[in-house]
Order: sequence, then structure tokens, then C-alpha cells
Amino acid sequence: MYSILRKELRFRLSGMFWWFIGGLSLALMEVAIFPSMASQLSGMDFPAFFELFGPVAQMYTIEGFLSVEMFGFMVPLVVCIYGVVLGANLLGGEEDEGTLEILAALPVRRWKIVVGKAIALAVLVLIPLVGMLLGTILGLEYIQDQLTSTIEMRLLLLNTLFSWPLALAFAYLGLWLGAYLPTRSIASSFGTSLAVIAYFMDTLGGMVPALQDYRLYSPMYYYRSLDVLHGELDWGAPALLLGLAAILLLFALASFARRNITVHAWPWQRNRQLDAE
Amino acid sequence: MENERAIETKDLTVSYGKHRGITDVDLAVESGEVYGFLGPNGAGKTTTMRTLLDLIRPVSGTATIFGLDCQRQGAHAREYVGYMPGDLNMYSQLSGKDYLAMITYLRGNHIDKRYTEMLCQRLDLNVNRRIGEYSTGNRRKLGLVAAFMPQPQLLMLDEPTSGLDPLVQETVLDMVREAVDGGSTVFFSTHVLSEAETICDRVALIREGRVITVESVKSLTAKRLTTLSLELAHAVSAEAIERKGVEVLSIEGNLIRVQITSGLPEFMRQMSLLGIESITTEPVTLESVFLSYYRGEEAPRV
Repeated sequence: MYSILRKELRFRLSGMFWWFIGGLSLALMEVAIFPSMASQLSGMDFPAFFELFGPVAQMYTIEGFLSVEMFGFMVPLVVCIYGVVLGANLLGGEEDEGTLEILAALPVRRWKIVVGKAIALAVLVLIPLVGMLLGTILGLEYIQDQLTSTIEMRLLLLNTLFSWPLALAFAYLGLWLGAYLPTRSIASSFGTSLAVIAYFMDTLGGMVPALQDYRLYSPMYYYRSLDVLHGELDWGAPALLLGLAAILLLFALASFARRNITVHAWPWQRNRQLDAE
Repeated sequence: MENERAIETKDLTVSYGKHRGITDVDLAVESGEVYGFLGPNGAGKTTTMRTLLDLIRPVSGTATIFGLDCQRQGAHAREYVGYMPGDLNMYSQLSGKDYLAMITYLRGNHIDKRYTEMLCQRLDLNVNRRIGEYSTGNRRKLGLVAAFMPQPQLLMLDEPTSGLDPLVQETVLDMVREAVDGGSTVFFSTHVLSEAETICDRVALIREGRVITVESVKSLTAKRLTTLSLELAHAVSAEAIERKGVEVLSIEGNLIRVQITSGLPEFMRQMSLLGIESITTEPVTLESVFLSYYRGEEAPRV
């Protein structure tokens, strides 16, 4: 298991570096432009449509600005879709490329392959979040003279901690789909679609009263960056997301244990008895 | 384990989707032999190997490696196996050296580095280059090194000489012989009959997912067919030529084409009396050997 984990992390060192740099640069840029944006945003009356992107009414505060511009958009969409695609790639992609045959033909148990990859995935989705955290801290340091209020370091750390289970849940969704569906591309497309649907379920649910109840079914609902940055911590939400991630990991384990590697069959085609051709 | 067969399958059946699988495959590979698994492309050789390695799960039947169930004790069974896939895909971003180090690490580091280096030298493989820059032949050499380097008790080689130049092919066959001399068993798939003749003790013929026969190489070659095309001095009738062991495939005036399973010297004496103008022998193909098993009966459907 450790050997699989080491292999995965080693293979993705350059990817990890660039996602870290990407998260850091984005956060630095967002924080750096806040002072010039704040005065313009104060008192601005946003059309309801903009609430798709978060609590726009509070964008004149640093917490509101970061929630809308970065944590309310980058984490739920970009980082979660990155997680889904990466998750689907770890099993489905390796099978598509033919390298899974070599790996699975070694004296390694299947569950160890999945768990090794799952641990690697947990680290990999954390990397852009850590990059964003460091970029935010550096950016706040850079503009601190221009801020009327700032965010506690503790809350920034907690925000990363609270966003990670959401990214993890989508990464494990991708891992499961990669183990369950025939190819990486099908798994990635399906997982990405689910992430986008979940995002709109949450954001539209916040705008349209009739859809409000459906928000509860979206994992995005359980990560509210503005609340965390305001210090309103609901530990049940990340716990629930971690529970969801654990269930999806179990699904991935079960699906991979039954998978016919190299066959690329749909679930309903597997182990079908031969008919009289 | 010493008394166990290297590979044993009983009624092994695999089906996936609309593609053909394997049906009721029975194999018994004894320890220390080179067992050839022969069949045309798509016959089920690779599927059988993948099932033995627990990559593919059978619908029914059983498979064991040294007495260990390939599914329930798959990881344990694979400790004894060095495998070279037919479709060899590797981590192209790694160098050959890093790839071998990774396989060594994943196998639990029980590999003699000097032996690995010796294999690389023998196959003239530069392991310092990236796999992505390797030619097909070099990739296959790397796959062979990865399969041989743990000095496994069972080598499963899926068309190992495919894509290699003739000199390297000969080296590989030597390596197989030496592995067997050292106590290993080799399960060797190929669609090249001459290769199986050179190296194998016994062969199983598989076609359309079914094992047609298991024979010693000696008895297989005894059954090999000779196809001749003759130009005779005069036109002859089929009745004048046909006899036991000789089948007329075509006859057009003085041009005849026959397949001979026995009695070649007597046939040639008879033809010389009729006056042979020219004679051509056709190479024996695996397919013609298969056809000899199917002649007179419908090929089983899978």
C-alpha cells in the first residue's frame, strides 16, 4: 500500500508543484486586487444572478470577497472537478494506458492498490488548497496596511481544513467512477457533470425558494467559506463530507475488487454467461 | 508446493460483454516444463493468462498456481510469477532503471540487482533512457527483464519474442531454457509454431476460446502437414493420386495441389512415375495445423 502511495506521489510531483503554484498565484492575485475593488464594491447593488457565485452583498469585506472570488468558486468547481478528474485517472486512466495490467499482475492485493491511490489522492487535492492558503496569507500580509479588518490565521487554516473534505468527496467520487465505469473519459465526464450539477443545485437553491430543499443533497452546501471565515464553525458539515468520502471510497474498493481489468466493460456486461452464439 | 502443478485450470470459462472469452479451459502445467500455449490472435491466450493473474474473473471453473487459488489467494500466487504481457504498456515518463526499481520496490525488494544488471547487459538494453524514447523492441526487452529479474518459479510470457530482432529472439529463448534449467516453469504463449517447436516440451492449442488439444511437441510435429504443389508431365485424375494420407486440394490438368499427412516417400515415388516437371512445398502454418484438428467437423462455437 505504501509502495503504491509512494509511486503515485512520485509520478505526480510536477503536477503537484504546478497546482500548488496555481493555487498560490491565484490567491495572491485575488487578495492583491481586493483594496482597489473594495471601495467600488461597497454599497453596490448586485443583480440576483450574481449570487450564483456566492454572497456578493458582502464583497466589500475581505471575507466576502475571498468567499465569492476564490473559495466560493475555485474550491467547489475547479478543485472539485480537478479531484474528480484526477480520481478517475488514478484507476481508469491507468487502465486505459495499459499500465494497470502490470501493476495488478504484481503480488499486490487489489484493496491495497485502491487504498494507496486514495491516500495519494487525499494529498493531491490538498495541494492546491494549501497553495491557496499560503497565497492568501502572503497576500494579506502584502495589503495589510490597506485593510480595515483582517482575517485570523486560525480561520484561514480552518477554511482549508473545511474545504478539503469537499474536494476529497469529489476525488473519491472520481476514484469510484474510474473503478466502476468502462473508461477514464466516461468516468471523468460523468463525475464532472455531477460536480457541476451539485454546484448549481447549491447556488440555485440559495436563490430560488422552490429549490431550497434540494441544496441539502449537494455536497457543496456543506462547505460555506464565508461562515468559516467569520468564525461560525459547524464541525458537522466537514464530518458529513468526510463520511460521504468514506462511503465513496468503500464503493471504489468494492467496484475495483470485482473489476475485470483490461476489459473496459460496462457493469451490466461483466460476468455475463456466454450465450449460444 | 513442490508437488503442486505450476498451473492447473478446470473448466475455466470467462465471458465479457459481446466479446469472446474462453470456455471450459483445462490446463495442467507441470513444474519445470516449458508449456507452449498456441493459437492465432484472438484465440484466448491472453485472456487465459490474465485470468490466471486474477486480472479477469472467470464466470465458472477454477484456476490455481502452485496449488494457490488464483482469485482467493491471488496476491500470494503472483509472488511466484514473473509476467510479461503481450500488449506492453509502461510508465513512459520513467527511465528504464527507475521502472525496474519501481517493480523491485512493488515486489518487496526481493530482487538480486546484479542479476538484473546481467539481464540488461545480455539483452543490450540501455536502462538510463526514458521509456518514452524506447523503440518497441527496447520496451519489450525491458518487459522481459522485469519478468525474469525476480527469478520467479513461474514465468508467464505472452508472445515474448514478438517485436524483437532474430538475434535477440534467440537470446530470449536461451534465457527461457536457462530459467527451466534453474528450476522454473515457463508458460509461453505464441502464434509462431516454429518457436514452440524449438522451446516447448508440451503445447496446448487454443482456438476460439477452447483448448483443442494438448500434445507433446514431438507428437504435434508428427502431425504436421505437408502441402505440395506439383506440375506433372501429363494431366492426371484425382482418383489416380488419392490414397491414405494424401488429400487432393485442387487439380487443374497437370497442376495438382495435395496435402500429405503420411506416406510422403511412397507418394513421391508414385509421382515420379508420372513425371514431375516442378515441385513446390508450402510452409506449414499454425492455421493449417488447427485445420487438421477441425477437418471433417464443425469448429466448436464459443
